[in-house]
Amino acid sequence: MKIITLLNEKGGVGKTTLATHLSAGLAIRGKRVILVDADPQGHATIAFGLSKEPGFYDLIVRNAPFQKVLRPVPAERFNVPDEAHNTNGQLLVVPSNIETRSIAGNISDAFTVLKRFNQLRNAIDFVFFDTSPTPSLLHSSIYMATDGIIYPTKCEAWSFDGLRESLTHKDQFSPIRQQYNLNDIKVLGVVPTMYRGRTLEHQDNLRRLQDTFGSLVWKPLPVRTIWTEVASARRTVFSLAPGSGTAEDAWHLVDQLEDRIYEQP
Amino acid sequence: MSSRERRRKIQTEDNLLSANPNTLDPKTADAIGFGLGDLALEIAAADNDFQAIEAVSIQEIHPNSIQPRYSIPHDLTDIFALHPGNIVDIFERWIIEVQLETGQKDFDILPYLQGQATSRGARAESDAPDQSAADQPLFGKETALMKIVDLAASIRRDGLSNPISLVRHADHYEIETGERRWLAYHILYWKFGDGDRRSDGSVVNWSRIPARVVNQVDVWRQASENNARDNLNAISRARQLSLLLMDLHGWDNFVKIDACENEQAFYAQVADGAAWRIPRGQGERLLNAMGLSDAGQLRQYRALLRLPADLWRRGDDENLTEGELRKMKAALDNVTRVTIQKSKSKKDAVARLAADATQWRNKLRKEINSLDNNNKPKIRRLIEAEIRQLMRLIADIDESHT
Ligand SMILES: Nc1ncnc2c1ncn2[C@@H]1O[C@H](COP(=O)(O)OP(=O)(O)O)[C@@H](O)[C@H]1O
Ligand SMILES: [Mg+2]
Repeated sequence: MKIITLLNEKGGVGKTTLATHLSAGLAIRGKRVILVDADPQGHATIAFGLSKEPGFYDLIVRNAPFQKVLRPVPAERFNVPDEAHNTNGQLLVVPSNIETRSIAGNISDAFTVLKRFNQLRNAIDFVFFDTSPTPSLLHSSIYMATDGIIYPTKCEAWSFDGLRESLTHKDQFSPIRQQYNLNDIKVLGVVPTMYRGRTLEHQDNLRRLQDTFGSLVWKPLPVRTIWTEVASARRTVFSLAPGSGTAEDAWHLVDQLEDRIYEQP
Repeated sequence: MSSRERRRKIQTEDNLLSANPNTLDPKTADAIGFGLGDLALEIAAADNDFQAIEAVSIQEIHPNSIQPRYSIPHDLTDIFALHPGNIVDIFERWIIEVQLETGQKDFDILPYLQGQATSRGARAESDAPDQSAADQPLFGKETALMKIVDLAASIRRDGLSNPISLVRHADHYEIETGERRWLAYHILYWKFGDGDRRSDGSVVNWSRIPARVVNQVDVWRQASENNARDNLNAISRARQLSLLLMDLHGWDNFVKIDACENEQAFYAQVADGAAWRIPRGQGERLLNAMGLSDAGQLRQYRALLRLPADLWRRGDDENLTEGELRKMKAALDNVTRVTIQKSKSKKDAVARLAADATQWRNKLRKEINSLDNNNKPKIRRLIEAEIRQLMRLIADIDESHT
């Protein structure tokens, strides 16, 4: 099992969009995937037409069994229409609602999230955490469990602040993780989102990102209006517009993630 | 397709998807065809394994008598029953024995627990059966003690990262896994009590240990925990193999450990490989649980169950390897064959044994007397224990005499 966290201490940069599509993409390719909505706003929960409820809260604070909190996403919601029936993988969501906000005040130690998800290490291939922008003790607990991090960022100068913040937070944890014999958290990618390739500002900022983070920077995800439609349809772009260029862009994200997960260190 | 067309299409499809997946747990979802299949069952199994963590009083916890690893040297558990009320006595006695064994009269565990001294690290760590204690046979008790002291020091420094697992009985808990962590908590409670302030400012109560309460002792879970945490010595592995075999054949076939003459006799119930074969199709599981790679090794560990009692104990206390024990057994077989023929009088041997015991006791008495007077009650307890042991020894001698 690999635990991957989508992170940027800024809202509206595409965390939820990437979390839903990377998890759906891997599920379509046959993996068993859990998407944990760790944001009190519950955007990842409603992204698949599920209703908001305190699943994550119950799991962490009240030690609820996984059976009680996991919600299966019907294949029709995330898979390519003609192939929905032959999905081998599975996509399950741990839903969220406003109660997620009080998890931080109720967890006893930084290993709570790790301990819970460790239970499923043999049953599940990937766990994605879609996080909220405001850092809290819950973030620490999620960092503790995380194997790899993906930072989506817009290509506007001001969005880099959030990215820099997140990266320093990540470094803070590395001595503690070493003490507990956990591997260092791997940065799987810095993903430029909502990219406008025609504007000089975006081109400039992409170059600056690449200068700073080198090959960690993924191919930018262009801005497209269809993404808003995808969100309001409560599906993935794979399911809604399978042949579109945007679906292709999304598949390319999944490819880049797989390349980085399976590459030799 | 235009944006508007697409939106209309979505609405109709949404109606088709009227089953609200939100109200379904994976099992129900599976039943109506979301295709979770095995996954739902695996998640249910993981949930069953999970139990909330509680803080349980270390005094309410009793060791499991069939835990394959013996953390405390046999001659200490001969004197003191492994009962929560005796643990401090055991450690006091153990420390004194280390003082005698190593000749360091001022040996104390406190500096190690406080992080002021580090244990003779590599030595304490090296309990891998291959690096046997043979290169330092004189320090067996020290090595075994320092392993628990090091564990206690690391728990005090970093916290307990893995809760122990317990089975609840009417008036106590029984350890499934984590006997050494429980012993470490006893040391920490003895030395620091409750309200201990750690270097990071946090306050800990050592009288209670984080534990997961499970329904019953599962020897397979015990085995996987033992293999993951620490290398077991050869004797412990033989015990573990025995437990797994008993589990495979059904516990009703075997006498309980309390009814056996000694602990070895309990495990030796499956020593006969022809009578207690590995059930068909279970070989792989058994090898995995034991962390072994071929059936020949299983046979070798099973053969250890028939070691002479003294070799069994020595192998356990000194962490001898399976290979070493096999050779010693072969050598011993030769020697006994010879001595049985030659021995004129059994009486001589018994007399020598008694003389040895007296000499040993006198030496210990002298050492106890040289301890400072502040330790009076401790000394009295030691002497009482000493006398009890001596009486037992004499009883043994009397018995073998007749
Ligand atoms: N590449 C893109 N082009 C256009 N809109 C996008 C793109 N990616 C995301 N969006 C939209 O931007 C909004 C914020 O994205 P979201 O993934 O929710 O960000 P976050 O989770 O970081 O707050 C959503 O309405 C989403 O549909
Ligand atoms: Mg979001």
